[in-house]
Amino acid sequence: MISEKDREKTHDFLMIETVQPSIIINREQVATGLSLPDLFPLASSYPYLTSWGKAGGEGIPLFDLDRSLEEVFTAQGPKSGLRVGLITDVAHFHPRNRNRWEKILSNCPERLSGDRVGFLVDSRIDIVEIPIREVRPLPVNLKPRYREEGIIGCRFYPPHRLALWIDLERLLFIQA
Amino acid sequence: MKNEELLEEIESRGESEDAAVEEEKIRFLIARIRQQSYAFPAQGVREIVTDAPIHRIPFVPPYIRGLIDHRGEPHTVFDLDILFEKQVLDADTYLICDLDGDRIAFLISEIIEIISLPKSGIHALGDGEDQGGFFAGALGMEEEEIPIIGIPSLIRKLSDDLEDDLRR
Repeated sequence: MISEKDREKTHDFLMIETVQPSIIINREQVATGLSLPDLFPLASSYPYLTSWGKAGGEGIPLFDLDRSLEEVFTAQGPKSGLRVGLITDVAHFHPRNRNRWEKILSNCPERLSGDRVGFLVDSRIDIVEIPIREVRPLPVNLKPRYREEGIIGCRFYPPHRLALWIDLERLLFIQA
Repeated sequence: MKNEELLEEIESRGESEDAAVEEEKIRFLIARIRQQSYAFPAQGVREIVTDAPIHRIPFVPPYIRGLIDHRGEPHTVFDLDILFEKQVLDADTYLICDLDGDRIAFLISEIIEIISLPKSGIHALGDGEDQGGFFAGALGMEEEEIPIIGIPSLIRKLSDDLEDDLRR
């Protein structure tokens, strides 16, 4: 039985409000958010890994999350006009993915940081505290297909809206 | 024979002979989708709900209209009119089903009735009447032949279509 305390347990998510469905991302997957006014083209064979930005004296490879949401998820939201990189630590990736990431980077001619990856967004992002009970697994009949797209759950929220919960690490390796 | 022994004896016999000879009955919900009636095995149906907005989702075949929120849980909405008749059903009633933890909602026009039938009242569909393999037979009611929806077959169809889409 779920105690009252557990019922009210919350977790921080990043929320990208789009036309529908919206997107939520576990806040813990993102180490920081950086404003990236200057972007440079990245010569890679991966469709969404097309630019890099400078931060803290090093080049950070950037996955175009906005374009991926628009093209793959058909989720389009109001733009903030500010390009932000949601920076993730490669050290937190699954060991198998760390090796895969190393290989992907070794095929790029630019010298870029192997420790951090940015997810480029210019849609509006909010940090929202969500009761865990509101975040639900998808129906079994959709689960395998959606995991292949990096979607691991969903949340209904008022008024009559749906958010899909995406896993940035999965998304990176599925769509990079 | 003491009461306890007698009771044990009675209980060990299971059903009475009268009950054993009575044929097992199966319950169905008869629902209308546009003009056609279909029988849904009542075993997997949990509830009938109305007016739940459908949330469209990507990566699904056209006969999946999206998800509805039923008590906070997402349910995959099947529009059988798209699958069977290639037309979109304009309705707002859902049969909420739960099959081995899988959550499904069938969009229907209306519920007609709930019936119980002996197994012998179910017959196979005629040749060519179930080309998609979506029915688990048919039952006769007032001279009308009502196909029985094979829910596991529909779930398999969805699974196959999602896999095909992924391969493309």
